[in-house]
Amino acid sequence: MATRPARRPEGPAQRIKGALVEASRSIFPSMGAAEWRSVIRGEPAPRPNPRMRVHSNSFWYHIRPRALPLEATAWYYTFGLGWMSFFFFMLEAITGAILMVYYTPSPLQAYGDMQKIISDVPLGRLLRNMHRLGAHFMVAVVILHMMRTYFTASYKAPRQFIWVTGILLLIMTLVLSFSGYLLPWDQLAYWAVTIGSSMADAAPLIGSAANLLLRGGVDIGAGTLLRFYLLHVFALPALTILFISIHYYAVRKQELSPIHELFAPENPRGWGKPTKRKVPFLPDQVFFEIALIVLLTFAFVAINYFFWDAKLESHANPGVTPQHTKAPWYFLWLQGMLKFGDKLVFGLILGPLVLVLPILLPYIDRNLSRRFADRKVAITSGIIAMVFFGFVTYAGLPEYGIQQSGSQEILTEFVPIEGEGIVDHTPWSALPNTPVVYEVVAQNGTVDGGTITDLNGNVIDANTLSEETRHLFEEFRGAVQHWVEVDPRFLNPTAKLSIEPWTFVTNTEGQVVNAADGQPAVAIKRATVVLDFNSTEVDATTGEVRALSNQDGTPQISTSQQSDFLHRDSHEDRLEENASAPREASQ
Amino acid sequence: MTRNILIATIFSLATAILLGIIFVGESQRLPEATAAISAEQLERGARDYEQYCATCHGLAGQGEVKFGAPALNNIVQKYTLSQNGQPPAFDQPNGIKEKYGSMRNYIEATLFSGIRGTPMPAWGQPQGPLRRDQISNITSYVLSWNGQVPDAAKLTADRVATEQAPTPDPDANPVSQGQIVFTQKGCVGCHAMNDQKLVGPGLGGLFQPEGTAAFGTNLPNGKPVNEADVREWIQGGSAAFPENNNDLQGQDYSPMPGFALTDDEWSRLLVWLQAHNRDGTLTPEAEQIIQEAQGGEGTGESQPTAQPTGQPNQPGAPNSPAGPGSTATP
Repeated sequence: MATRPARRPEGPAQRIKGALVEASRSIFPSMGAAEWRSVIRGEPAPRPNPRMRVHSNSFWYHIRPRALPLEATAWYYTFGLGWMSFFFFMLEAITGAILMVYYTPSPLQAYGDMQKIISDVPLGRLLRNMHRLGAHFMVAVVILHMMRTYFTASYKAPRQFIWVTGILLLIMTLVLSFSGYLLPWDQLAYWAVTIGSSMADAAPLIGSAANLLLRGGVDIGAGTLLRFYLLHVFALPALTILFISIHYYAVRKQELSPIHELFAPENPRGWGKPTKRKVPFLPDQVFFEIALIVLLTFAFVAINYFFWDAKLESHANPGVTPQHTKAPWYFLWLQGMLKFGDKLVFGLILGPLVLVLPILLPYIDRNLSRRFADRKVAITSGIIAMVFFGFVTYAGLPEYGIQQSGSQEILTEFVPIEGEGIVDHTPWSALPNTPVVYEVVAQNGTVDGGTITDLNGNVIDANTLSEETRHLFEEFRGAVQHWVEVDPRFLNPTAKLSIEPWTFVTNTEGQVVNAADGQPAVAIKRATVVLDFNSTEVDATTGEVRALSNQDGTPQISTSQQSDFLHRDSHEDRLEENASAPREASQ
Repeated sequence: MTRNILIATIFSLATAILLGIIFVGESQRLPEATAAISAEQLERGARDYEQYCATCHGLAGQGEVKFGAPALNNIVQKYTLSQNGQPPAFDQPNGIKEKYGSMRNYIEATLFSGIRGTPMPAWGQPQGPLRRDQISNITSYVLSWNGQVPDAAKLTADRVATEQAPTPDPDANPVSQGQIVFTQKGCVGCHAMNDQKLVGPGLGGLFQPEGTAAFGTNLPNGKPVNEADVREWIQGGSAAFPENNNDLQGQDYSPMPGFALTDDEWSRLLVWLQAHNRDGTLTPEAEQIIQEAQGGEGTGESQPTAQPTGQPNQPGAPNSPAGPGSTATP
């Protein structure tokens, strides 16, 4: 305890001043005004160092040490990953708290609220982007932090308990991120969570009960959204804060694992010896970390404003499963493993193993040495585990191990129902303003050059089309060629990609407004892909693909068709649009 | 350390300036984002219109494709401008303006609840498949025609209609002929011939011992499945049976409109209804009927189950004789 000055009669001004000094010293122990002045001027600390005076009632010194060994601050040792995890946690907490203001956890309102955050709240899109990307970063950083700890053997005695709380924090991070996935209530959210939570079914005994508890019903609905919301904003953050405190406190008690233990004591470069040099936490380390926080925040704001945008897909629809539905990337390994075997076997053996093995790791690995040279088995198995997880993550991708249907892939690639296809990425104004049909015919594995016509079959000169449109048609032809080669069931297709003006910009009297070039101004263009191909059946025993034909010998035809509507306001370059006349005229 | 303080100060300022610049830019971005979102809503409305509405009202909203569905592309003009010297329906006493306030509200309400006594069903959840935002998107799309239907869209509509129309073939086997009636009458828009729920229940197994997945061997009005009662149900629609609560095995369905059937149409439709098991496969009897028809003479039509379902943009809009009156009065 700090010694209190003997009570003396004093005026109110002195008493307030005394209270302020007391309060400030309990936050920054022993740092008075003169001391701050010398800190800012970069002057060396006087001896004995007054900055080192410990006040046992200091909050900070319960979670951070007074001084760090110089080697513990080496960036190439820890990469600051644990610190960065906490940085991202705080970033998520701050952006999340603001986003909460605009959000209602109800299926009737959630999606509309997301649209409002994007289109109605100043800085709303930035906040949402930062929260979304921050979540991905946080998961990645926490996983990297765990890997670093493993490979530098920092989990060994006396730090086993730090490792255990760390693994619990990793699980909490994953569940935090996953529970936030559902909240936008768009198709991505709905189907990623459908897949993710149905994987819980694979867990033995408790699987289906846990799933029911998590979903609040058989289907994902209003109850699920509310549960995920409360988990996301209340239960999990509270639990995470608790465990972060324990984690930090344990690290504070045991100090960082020393780097020199990793190398042989006789290491010629001196790495094998502990260093005596220390970095005082206050002010050196504090200012270093503040500078880092400011730098990272700046970089993160810039990234999210200029380089990245979290897409909002269309409203969640249980009736329509988008092509290529997948779990969040950090659960792909689970999806991949479930592809390889029986749900029950994998759920019974691997599921608990993946959870329990890391927690028990410090108690299984009894090798006390932290030297790389003594840990050949541990490091090898660590690398094998990394390769294994890398592979099953890849196997979790929708492309892996599932026979893809060429017709469906082409539809999704060019005119998808969800997200953006190649047609969406072609500049809107470069797409033709009159109906154009591009048709390619594939026979025996080769695709012809293609014909460009109008709706009545009159040939159109390709040179009248924009370069981007011709490029789009070339890409379409390439995709058909590719899938003809890859998918034997995509047999001798006739593939059509048509682009038509669909609706026009009108004024209040119902008259079509003319664009700058005197032609009617198009509001929506419709891109349609029609694929007619020979129906086939697969022989169940030999796997051979047979073409089906009608009674009269003509090939039996299957048709796949899908359209994408392209509105000028959601596709055209903003600058061009502002310059064009029709928008103003339509007001 | 001075360097750290310097970096922290400079980048604090830089962050503040960056946020300031972004904040100033927001006054430009927000209206654009709003426009982009309304544009996306129109695109989604267009997609949903093709899936749910175009079967009867036509791809270009030209109407008259089936059941005498009214044209929608000029709906605003039709109700808000005076027609043939009559005051517009919008402004009449007890008209749309007084009842609904605006054309948008009127269209949304119609989509939501349907029109009683016509084949227009209630589309809003929970009776129908559409959420409120979908109904609002479709309404925006319908209003965006504003009387203008591009020739290209009309042309596509006609082309799709002719491509999709099944060709009546007097020589076709009885099962295929039944399928043509099933398609022409528009049953196919709401009913699958297996155990899948579309707008209405799947009808696979209707006349089989196991019955349909939705209502088993008794019709929703409690009567057993037999030729007379099924015909009565189809001709009367669910409105003819007030005791019907549209709730079959916990599933909600839209009300079934009534359909007039001639004896000839009914006899052909019956073959189609009888030809399916609950899982959508053909019954042995139906297979035999097809075999016999082909045995007698090689006829073309032989793939009654090849109709792909679940294609979201298959309007399946055959030309059929226009039904009664092409306008619906509010």
